[in-house]
Amino acid sequence: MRPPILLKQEFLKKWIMGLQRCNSSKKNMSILERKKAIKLSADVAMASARNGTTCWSRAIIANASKDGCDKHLVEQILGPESERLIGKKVSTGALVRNKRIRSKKILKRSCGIRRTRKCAPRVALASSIAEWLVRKRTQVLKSLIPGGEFMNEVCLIEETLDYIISLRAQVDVMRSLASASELVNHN
Amino acid sequence: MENQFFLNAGIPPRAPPLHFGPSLSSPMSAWQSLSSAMEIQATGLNCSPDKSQDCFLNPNWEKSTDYGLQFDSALSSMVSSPAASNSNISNESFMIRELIGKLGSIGNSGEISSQPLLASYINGNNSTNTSCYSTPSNSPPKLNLPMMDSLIKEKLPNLGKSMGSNSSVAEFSADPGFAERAAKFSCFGSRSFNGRTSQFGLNNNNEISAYRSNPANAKLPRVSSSPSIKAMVSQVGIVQGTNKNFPLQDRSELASSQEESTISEQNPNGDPGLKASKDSNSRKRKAVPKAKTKETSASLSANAAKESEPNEESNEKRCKSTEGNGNENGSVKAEEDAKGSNGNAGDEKQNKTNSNNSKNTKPPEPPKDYIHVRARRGQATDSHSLAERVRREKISERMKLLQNLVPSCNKVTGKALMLDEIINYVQSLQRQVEFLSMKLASVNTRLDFNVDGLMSNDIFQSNNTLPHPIFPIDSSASAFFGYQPQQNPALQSNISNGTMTQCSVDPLDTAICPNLNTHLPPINQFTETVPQYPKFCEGDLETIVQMGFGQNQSQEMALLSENFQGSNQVSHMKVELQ
Repeated sequence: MRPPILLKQEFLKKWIMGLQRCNSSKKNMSILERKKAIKLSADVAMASARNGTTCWSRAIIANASKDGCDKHLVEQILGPESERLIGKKVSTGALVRNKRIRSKKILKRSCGIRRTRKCAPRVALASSIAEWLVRKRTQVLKSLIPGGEFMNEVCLIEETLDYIISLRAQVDVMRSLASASELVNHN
Repeated sequence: MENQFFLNAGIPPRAPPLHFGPSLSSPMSAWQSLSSAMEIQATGLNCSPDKSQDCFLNPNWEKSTDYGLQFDSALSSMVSSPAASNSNISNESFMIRELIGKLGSIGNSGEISSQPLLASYINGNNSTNTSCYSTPSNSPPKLNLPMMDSLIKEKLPNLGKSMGSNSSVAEFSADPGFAERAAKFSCFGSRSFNGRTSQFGLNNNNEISAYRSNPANAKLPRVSSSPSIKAMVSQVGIVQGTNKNFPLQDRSELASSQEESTISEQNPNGDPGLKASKDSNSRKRKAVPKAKTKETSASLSANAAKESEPNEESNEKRCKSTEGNGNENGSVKAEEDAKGSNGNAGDEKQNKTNSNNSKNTKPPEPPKDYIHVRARRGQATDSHSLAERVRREKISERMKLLQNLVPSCNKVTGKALMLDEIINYVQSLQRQVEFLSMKLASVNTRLDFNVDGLMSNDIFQSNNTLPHPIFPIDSSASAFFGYQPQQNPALQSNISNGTMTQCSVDPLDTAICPNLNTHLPPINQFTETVPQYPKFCEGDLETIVQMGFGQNQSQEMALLSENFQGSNQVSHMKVELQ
C-alpha cells in the first residue's frame, strides 16, 4: 500500500484544485455553502486518490456526479480519468448488484418464512442473539460506508479498512490545513 | 508435420486432420511425434521463468482475441461429441484426433469444423467408452497431452482402466472456461501474481525434479507446479497484453498436462488409491466444480463475454480480495496462507487452499474461482459448511486487520463488539471531517487557500525530525490525555512561531475529563458545548499540536487539542480515548 504521505499529498493537491474551482464559480457563499463545498471537494479528492480501485470511492464519485452542478467539480478534480471513472458503469453495476441482492433477499425471506413457521417456538440461543447483533451492526456499517449497501460481508470489511485509512489521511490533511491557514490569518 | 503444427504459427488449415487419415494405421508414430513435440514445448516451459517467457513470447500462436473462443468452442464440440457418439466409437484415439484437429484448426481463423472430418477417421478401437479424458491423475487441464502420452506409453488397452467417471468429462468441459477465466484473472490479479510468481519460479524446478524422481509424492509437487506455470504464464500474459492471454493459457495447460501425464504413467496403480482418498476427503472443490461445470458447459457455446458473467461475481470477489490485499500490506496474503495451509510449503498460496500432501489429482484451476478447502478432522464435510468455514476465516482475517487499524479494538474480542468499535471510529472520523470543513469554511471566507504560502510552511513535512521543543505543556498534555506520545512531536516552523505561553492546565483538565468518554456531539450543538472549554492561547495549544504527517493515530488526541483555539466553532473534542 502506498505510504500515507503520498496519499495525503495527492489528496491535498486535488482538494486544492477543487476548492479553487469552487471559488471561481461562486463569489459569495455563506458559511454553510462553503463548508459543503469544502467537504464535497475533500471527499471527491479523496475518492479520486483511490483511482477507482475501491467500491466506496466509486460510490462517492457516482453520488457526486449525479448532481449537475457538482459534476463539473468532480470532473475537474478527477482530471483526465473523469470519463473513465464517472462513465465507468458504476451505476449499472450497482443496479445489477442491487437487483441480485434484492432477489437474494426475497429468496431468503421466503425461505426464512418457511423456516420460522417450522420452528416458531424456538428458544433464543446465545448464538442467535450474537448473530442478530452482528447483523445489526453490519447494517449500520453498511449505511456508513459509501456504497456499502451493495457489498457482502467480506468486501464490506475490506472497504471499511480502506475507507478508514483514507478518512484518517483526509482528517490529517484537513487539520493541518486548518491550523496552518489559521496561523497565516492570524499573522 | 505435427511438430510444425505446434511450433509454427502458420498451421496449414486442413493439414493436420487430413494427415491423420493415412496414419490411422500407425497411430503410435503420430502420437509419438506429437508427444515429442509437446515435450519440447514442456521442456521449454520448464526452464527458468525468464526463459519460459521467451518461449512464450515466441509468437507460435496466433494472436487473435478470439483465439480462446475458438479453442473453447472446439473443446466444447469435442466434449459434446463423445456424448453424442455411440459407445462403439473408440474413445481415446477419437478424442485425441479430434483434439489435434481442433488445435490445428485453431490455427485457422476460420471455422472449426474439423470434427466431422475426424469423425470419418474414427478407427473402431473398441475399448470401453470411458471418458478418455480421465487420466489416472484425472484433472481437466491435462486433457490433451496426457491422453497422448499415456497412449503412447501404456498402449491403448491399458487406458481402459480409466476412472470412467462422468465428473472427469465434466471437468474436461470446464477446462476451456478455466482457461478463459484464468486469462481474465491474470489481468486482474497482476499485482498478486507478480508477488507470487517469484515464489513459484523458485519452487518450480525443484518440484518438477522432485516429482519426476519420486512418483509416490508426485501429486504434491505437480499440484503446485502447474499453478506456478500458470502464474508464470499469466504474468507473461499480462506482460504481453491481452491478446496473448488465451493462447498462453492454453499453452500452460498443455504444459502442465504434459508434466502431469508423466506422473500419471508412473502411478497407474496409485489411481484407485487416489480415487478412494479423493472420495473420502470431501473437498469443496468437488462440489463446486460440478456446479461450475454445468454452468460452464451450458455457456460454453455462448460467447466468452457471456461466459464471464456468471464468473464475474466470483471474479469480482476474488479481484477485490486480491486488490484489497494489494491495498493492504502483503502480509495479508501471508496471513491467509499461513492460516490456510496445513503445513504445506506455502506453495498453494495461489489457491488459498488448506490442502496438504494428499491433495492430489486436480491441479489448481485458475485460482480465482475455487477455494480449495479441506475438511478438517472431525468437522462436517458438507460443501456448504466448508464454504461457510472459508467465508468465516476470510472475515476473521480481515477483522484482525481492522483490529490493528482501529485503535480501540485491541481489547475487545468478538465480532459484535469489534464492529461496534469500528462503527464508532468511522462515525467519529466522519464527524471530524465535517467539523474540520466547517472550520475551514469559517477561517477562510473566500475559499482561497494560498497554496504557496501554505506549502512554504512545510505542510508536507512528514515525520518531522525537528527536535521536540518541548513545551512545558506537552508533558502535562500527555498526562491529562492519558497517553504517551510515541514519537517526537513534530512541529512545523509556523507553529513554533506561535507564542508558547503557559496557561494553567487545570481548568482544561477538569473540563476535558468529563468529556473524555463522550462521542463527538453533532455539529448542531456547537454553541452549547463551547462554554465548557476554556479559551486558550493559540500558541499554547499549538505546542501540543503535532503537525507532521505520518503520525500515529494515538496522537490524534493531542491533535484535537488544536480545536481549542479560540474560535467560536470550538471543538468538540473527539475523544475516542481508550
